[in-house]
Amino acid sequence: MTFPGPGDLVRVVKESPVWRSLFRQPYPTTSRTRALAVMNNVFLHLHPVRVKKHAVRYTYTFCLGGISFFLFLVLTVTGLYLMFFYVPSVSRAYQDIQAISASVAFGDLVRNMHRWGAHLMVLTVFLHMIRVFYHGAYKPPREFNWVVGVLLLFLTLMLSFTGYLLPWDQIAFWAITVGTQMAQYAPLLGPQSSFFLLGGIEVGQNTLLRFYVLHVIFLPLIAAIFMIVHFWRIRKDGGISGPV
Amino acid sequence: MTTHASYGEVHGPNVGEMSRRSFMRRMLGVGVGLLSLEFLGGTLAFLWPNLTGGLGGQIEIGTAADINSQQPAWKTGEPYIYTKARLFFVNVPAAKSLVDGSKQTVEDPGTDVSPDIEPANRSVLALYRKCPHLGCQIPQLCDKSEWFECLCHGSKYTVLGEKRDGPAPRGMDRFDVTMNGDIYTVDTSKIVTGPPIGTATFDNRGPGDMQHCVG
Repeated sequence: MTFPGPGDLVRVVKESPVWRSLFRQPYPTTSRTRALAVMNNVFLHLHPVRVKKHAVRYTYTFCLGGISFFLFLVLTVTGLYLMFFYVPSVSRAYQDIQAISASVAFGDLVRNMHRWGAHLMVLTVFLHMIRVFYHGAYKPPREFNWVVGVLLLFLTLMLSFTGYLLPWDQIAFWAITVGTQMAQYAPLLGPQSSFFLLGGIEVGQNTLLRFYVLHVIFLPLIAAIFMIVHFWRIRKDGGISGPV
Repeated sequence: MTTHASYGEVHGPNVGEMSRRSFMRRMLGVGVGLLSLEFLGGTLAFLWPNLTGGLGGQIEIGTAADINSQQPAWKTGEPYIYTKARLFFVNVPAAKSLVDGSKQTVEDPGTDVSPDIEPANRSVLALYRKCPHLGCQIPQLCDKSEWFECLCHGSKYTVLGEKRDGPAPRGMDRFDVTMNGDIYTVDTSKIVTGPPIGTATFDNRGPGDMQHCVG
């Protein structure tokens, strides 16, 4: 009599309908199966099946767009974690921030990842724009994607600006006071836009709640939609930019 | 023992069929798995509730003078209701004199709070207001019987939390008290189970001996 060994268990698992639904083809070993593996997977299909040789030349793009997207993901995850401990209320916000840093396990780490990630993202998005500009990569057929990119830069700055108020300390309060005063000088609807943004005539509870909602839902969602378009346009406009 | 083209005879067991590529692939899987576990562990640590300052932590009730200023009847035996920790803070000598009719005033019951001392001989008791029957909040001492009488199903306890009547399986649960200088501090991280039915160290009246607020 023979007992079933670990090999039999592997075989049973690999022949089960669940395994065969998750891994629809064997490990790719040929060109064709490698292409299929990328095309048939919802996560991998975002990548091109084949890339041009220059695409792996790191020093052409410095992966600045990729780093920006990575930072966006880091900020999304750390931001989600911070939301468990932060209440956007004028009486609690500052204490909550202090408590995250002082008494939550890894809280100071997560908060600093979020803060430094935000600073870095503004920097990398800016450098990405400079790189595209000096390579002339905004020229047709990529002119539409340049415009999408400019909107993404604006959204990044707005995310940074709205997040700045949330600690509800002195620097946050006065920075937003100054920032929204500047909005009053906008042509035509200046005072109205400031009034709308603040939810009143000065920075207060309404402002904190408005900035919080913009920061955690509205702006990230809009940015994600524009990112989808941005990445899709890269593929449609001939793949990652390289030397002409 | 196997023979290798370059090295000649190779000692030791044959390492099998695994190629370098599949080894790297498996190690990548193991690495990603370990990182995921670490991340999961960190997430659990991050989200684990921190009970400092609320029920579940060390709670400073205050000095005897603080309690008397909050609730002046404490010195004549009325248990102090400390809402944040959901407890009755009983001035034991004063409460005993309230029940036995000697009506003494005890401004400061003292510092005999050690759990080694019999509850009836301690200075203070921190009784958890959650009824050990089904968890209702026990109201303030009934002024007809000088017992704690639960409104939900009529469980009745003496001022020291010993069960006298009703469906509860034991006396009122309690917390250990420590002195921090002259400040009473209650350790709500550990619930001390109430005394079993039949415990009668003080107040031997039965339910039929007097009027009640409940039942």
